[in-house]
Amino acid sequence: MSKFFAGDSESESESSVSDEEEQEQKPTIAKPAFMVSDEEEDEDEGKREVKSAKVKRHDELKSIVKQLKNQQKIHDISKVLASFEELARIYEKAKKVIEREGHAPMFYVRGIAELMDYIEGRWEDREWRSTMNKINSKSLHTLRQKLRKYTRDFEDDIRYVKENPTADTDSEPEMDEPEAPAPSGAEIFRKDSFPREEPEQKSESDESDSEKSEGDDFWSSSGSSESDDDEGKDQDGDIKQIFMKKSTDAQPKEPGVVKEKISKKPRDKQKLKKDASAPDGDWVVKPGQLPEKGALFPKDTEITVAACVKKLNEILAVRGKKGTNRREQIALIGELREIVRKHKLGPCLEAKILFSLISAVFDYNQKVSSSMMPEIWEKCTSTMDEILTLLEENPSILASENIPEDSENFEDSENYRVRGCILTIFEKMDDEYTKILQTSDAHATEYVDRLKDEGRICQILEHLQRFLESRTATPSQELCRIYLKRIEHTYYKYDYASVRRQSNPNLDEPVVAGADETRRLIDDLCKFIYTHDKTDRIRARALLCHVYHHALHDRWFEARDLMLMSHMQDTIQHADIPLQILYNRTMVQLGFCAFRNGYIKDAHQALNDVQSANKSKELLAQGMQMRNMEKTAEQEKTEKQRLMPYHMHINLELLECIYLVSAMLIEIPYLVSHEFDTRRRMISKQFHYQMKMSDRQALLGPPENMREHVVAASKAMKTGDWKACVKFLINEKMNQKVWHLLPQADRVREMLISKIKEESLRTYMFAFSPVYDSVSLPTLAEMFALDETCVHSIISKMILNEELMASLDEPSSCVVMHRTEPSKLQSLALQLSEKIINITELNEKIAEFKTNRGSQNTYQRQQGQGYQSWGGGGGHDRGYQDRGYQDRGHDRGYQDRGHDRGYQDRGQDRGYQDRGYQDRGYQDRGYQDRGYDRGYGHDRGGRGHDRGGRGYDRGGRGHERGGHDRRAASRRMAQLMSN
Amino acid sequence: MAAPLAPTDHVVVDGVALLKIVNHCEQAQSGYEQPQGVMLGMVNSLEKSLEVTNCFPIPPLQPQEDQQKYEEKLYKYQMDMMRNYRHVNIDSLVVGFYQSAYFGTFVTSAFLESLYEYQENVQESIVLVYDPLKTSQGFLSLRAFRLTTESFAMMGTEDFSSESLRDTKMTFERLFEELPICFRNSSLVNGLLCELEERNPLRTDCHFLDIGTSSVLEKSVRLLMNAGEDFIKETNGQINYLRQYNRTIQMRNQYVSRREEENGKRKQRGEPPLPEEDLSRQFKLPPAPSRQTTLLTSSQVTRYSRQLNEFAAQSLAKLFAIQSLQQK
Repeated sequence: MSKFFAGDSESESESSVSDEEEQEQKPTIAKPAFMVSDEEEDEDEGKREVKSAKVKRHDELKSIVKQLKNQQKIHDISKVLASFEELARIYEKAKKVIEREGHAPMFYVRGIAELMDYIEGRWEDREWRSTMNKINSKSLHTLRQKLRKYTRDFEDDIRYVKENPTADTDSEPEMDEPEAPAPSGAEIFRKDSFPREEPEQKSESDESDSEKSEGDDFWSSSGSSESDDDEGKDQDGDIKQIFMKKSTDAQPKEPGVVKEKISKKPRDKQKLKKDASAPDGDWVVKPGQLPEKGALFPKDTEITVAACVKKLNEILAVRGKKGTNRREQIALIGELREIVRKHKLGPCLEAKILFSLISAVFDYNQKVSSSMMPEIWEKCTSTMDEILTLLEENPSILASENIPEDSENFEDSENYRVRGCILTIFEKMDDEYTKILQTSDAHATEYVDRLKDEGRICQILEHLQRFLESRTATPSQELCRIYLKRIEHTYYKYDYASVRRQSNPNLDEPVVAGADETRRLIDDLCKFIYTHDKTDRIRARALLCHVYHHALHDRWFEARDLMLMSHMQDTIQHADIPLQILYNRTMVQLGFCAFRNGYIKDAHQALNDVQSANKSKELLAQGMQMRNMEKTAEQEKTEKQRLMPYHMHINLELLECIYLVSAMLIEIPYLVSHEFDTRRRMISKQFHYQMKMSDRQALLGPPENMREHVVAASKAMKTGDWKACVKFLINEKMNQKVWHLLPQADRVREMLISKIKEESLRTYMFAFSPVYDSVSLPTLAEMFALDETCVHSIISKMILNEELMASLDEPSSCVVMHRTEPSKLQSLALQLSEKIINITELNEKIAEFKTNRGSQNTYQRQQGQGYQSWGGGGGHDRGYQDRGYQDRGHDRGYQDRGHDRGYQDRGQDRGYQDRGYQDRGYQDRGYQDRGYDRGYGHDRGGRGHDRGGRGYDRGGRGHERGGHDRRAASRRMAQLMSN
Repeated sequence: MAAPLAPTDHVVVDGVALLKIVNHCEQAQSGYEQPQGVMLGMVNSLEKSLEVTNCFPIPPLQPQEDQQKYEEKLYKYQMDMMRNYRHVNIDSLVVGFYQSAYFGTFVTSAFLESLYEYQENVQESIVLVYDPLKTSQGFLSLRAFRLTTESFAMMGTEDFSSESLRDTKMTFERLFEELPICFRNSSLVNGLLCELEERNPLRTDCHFLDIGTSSVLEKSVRLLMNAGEDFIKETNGQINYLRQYNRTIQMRNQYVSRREEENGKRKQRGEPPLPEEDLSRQFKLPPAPSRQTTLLTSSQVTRYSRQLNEFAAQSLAKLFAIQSLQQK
């Protein structure tokens, strides 16, 4: 009701207050289905049908009002209260009827007014009040309060009634009905309209009528197709048909048609009849003026800001209702905008209309999951453009979400205010665009067509960014949002131009405007966000995009440092899912970057999480697993909404290949060196799985797909055959499948070859060092096509890490094997001896049972002895081993108890320190200590510890300690045994 | 079945049967099942020997085949084969089966059972175990085994508890008895062989001089380790059993002593003693685990060890020979 009155007060201010107007107040929001000009016809024609309902309600009301009066006369306040409540209740019931009339019936208002006067009078009369009984006084009190609240809605009416106390209550109904048709807002406009607008007005008014009927007609006659608004084409046809009907000879037919179809809506039918016949005479078709569209205003109406706003509200009022013709709504708003433009009602109003228009466009699709049709999308972008230009050209317009609708200002040119946020609209539009991409087939040309709009979006985005930046009033949060959007539209795009410029700086390519280095752009935007963002989410997204962008452009150190500084790894599992997806994407990209730069271990680590569970597709939101049936439809839908558009996909085969190759480079030397270690751990499950699958194959053909290639390469590498390994990994097929996908593929291939050589050399040394007494370095260098210095460094590293029991003989440049490593057979024998110890121990236990059956005490004692004796045995065993392998400095025999790992760590540490190997690299390791170890290692599954324990993050302090502990423990054990 | 008057003490294998066995075992090597076959022959009680004169292979169980169906099919196949052999006047008495096994890994419970079944039919039945690996190294390895009378009896009662083992003085060494094998050819074949030898003298294959010992040793050690694992498992089971057993016994003893005390008190008071109760029902002793697996594993381990010993001795001899050669 308040809206209703708000609308009214505006019109009041323009035209003189009159009875007519009072009665013809039109609800704007609450009564959307009817247009101003329909009112009279409605009343006239619909009387006969309506009367029963209306009169009935009126009679009810009247009787109660009368009752009220009587009760007032006898001062029975409690009864008055009861009657009043009854009245309010009936009025509530009658509201529908009353609303149709557009105002409360006079007698009712009058009754209320009188009651008010009466109550106030009673209230003032203290003397009387003091005399009345308790119930009455209480009733008076409540009634007064209720009445006050109640009458707030009728203030105007009451005021009016008070001003015109002469109007007779009884005459009210009569006055209500015959007088109703004549006056309306439109009517008044018509009287004062300017002559020059006459023709237009005329046509518009006609159209307005027909428009209305169109609406109804469509609504009812297309009953069958009415609900299928989504079927654009059908609807097109429908509408066209209706339009045609309207503008041509369909008129005489129409009422008949309608009559046939409509049974429930006689009022509409009546109205239609009227509509169809009434404007006949004035029908003017104006070419180029969208003749079939309904005119929004009756002719002669004065087009003012207020009228337009009112109109707009009317149009918007049907929004979201069932059966609303959304296409038509869009058209109507467009029409309105034309009018506003023609009448120069100010840019602010136009902005307002555009805002409405775009939200109507967004509303066009009812289902959340379906995407916009191309033409609607076109409309959307163009509207967006228009809003932007409009706002830009008129800096005085203040558009904000925070401006409530009632404080909008369309007229004061210095201080325009309009509700609406262009940024939000843009975000919505961007979402829609994503949706469009999601729903279109990524492998059809359609997708490419859609993708062309990305440029458009970016243009708008840049435009919007400029606009927001130019506005000083823009809050920084909004800037953050727009920047984030900008980043999100930039981060995944490979900046070919700048890379090309970097690679050969002397190339004088004309620098294309707008193709500015995206790096700087992203840097700037991200920095702004880092400093100004108050919600962590935007910052996190920006950061991940930033890392992604760095990684994409091979800036490994920047990317990694940024990632580590964010400590995102600790918290990501609590983040929302889109952020997690972005995180996964970033990690994958980071892994790629590490791989391209030759940081194999980092690459493996970064990719491990995504790849390990074989769910990379889902984790990167690039598709859905078919086999997962336990998901509900709802979950599936939301998941579908999260999917990345195809052009942002990361190639999964590339991902897997890089992961497997990294795993191969790490795992194969490890595998070979720890062949007999029973407690050997898997570094990469996935890799082992692939290997196992291939082993299981009865017949091994030449590799076909990427995985088989990697497996074949791994097998070649196991024997140190680097040439075969390279051949399997880098060939035409693999180039086609994988390597060509990487930028600067040649560099990557070179890196890969050198890595393969190095790791093959290591593998070879692990596998075949027992065969040699000594190997000359030049021979090795020749075998692996490596520099002698390189071989030297690799071998030295292995010696320092105590992976290879050998020493370098400098004069002859030979590696002299120490042969202290137990041979295959020896290590097996050691394992066997351990098993046998185990068996004897158990046997003794059994013996104790036999000898001490039944007596628990002795049993326990004996058991203790048994342990001791076993321990003695173990100690003995150990002694032997110590003697045997003293030069190794630790007892190999216990290696499978696991403490040998800590030892390894120490070895590696020392190795790095001694050699000062790779200054930069070493520092990085140090860094890893602090952040990395915690970082990558600390993955979601808690698998991080596992990995940390594997001695991968070199020099992880935590683990060093672990090693110490274990070593200390073993020492203690040794002491115990020797005692 | 009563023990025969004069138990056979050696096996005579016909050249035909031998070649057929070798041929089948070499050809049908697959990863899953060891090739097996049925041997036909006769018991020569005069010479106290078992003669194996012919044999035929058993088709292996296909991985996706139904076990029961397979057995039916197999039975029919065997019957057919034997009928056919009888038609051509070949001995149709089933005298056991042959199978191939690497490194003597044949001692399993299934092996034991099938041998028992054969021996149930014909007391003299044996099993021939062929080792293709050793043969390829130049030593024809064919060994004949039979269940000892004790183990046969034990299989009959299916009682492998510790007690019965103790009572029968059964040990893993007496699970099987090995019989000496001699090969026999008809004079005609001998003649042919002689002629062949003359015509193209034997290539002196030096496989037997192979000193690449480590792979065999490694394999043996691995097998030993597996056996060790089995042992550990078995022993653990045994320990568990004993623990449970002890606990039950202890509880029973406690219960009994309490009862006795109570009875003594009652006696003093002149009341009748409490009625006897079925203690065994109240304190159920856990079922004793079968020692069969342990027996088998022990037997297997013995076999491995002997093999290793043998092999090591040979290898050492070879190494010494080579050493002296090198010094020259």
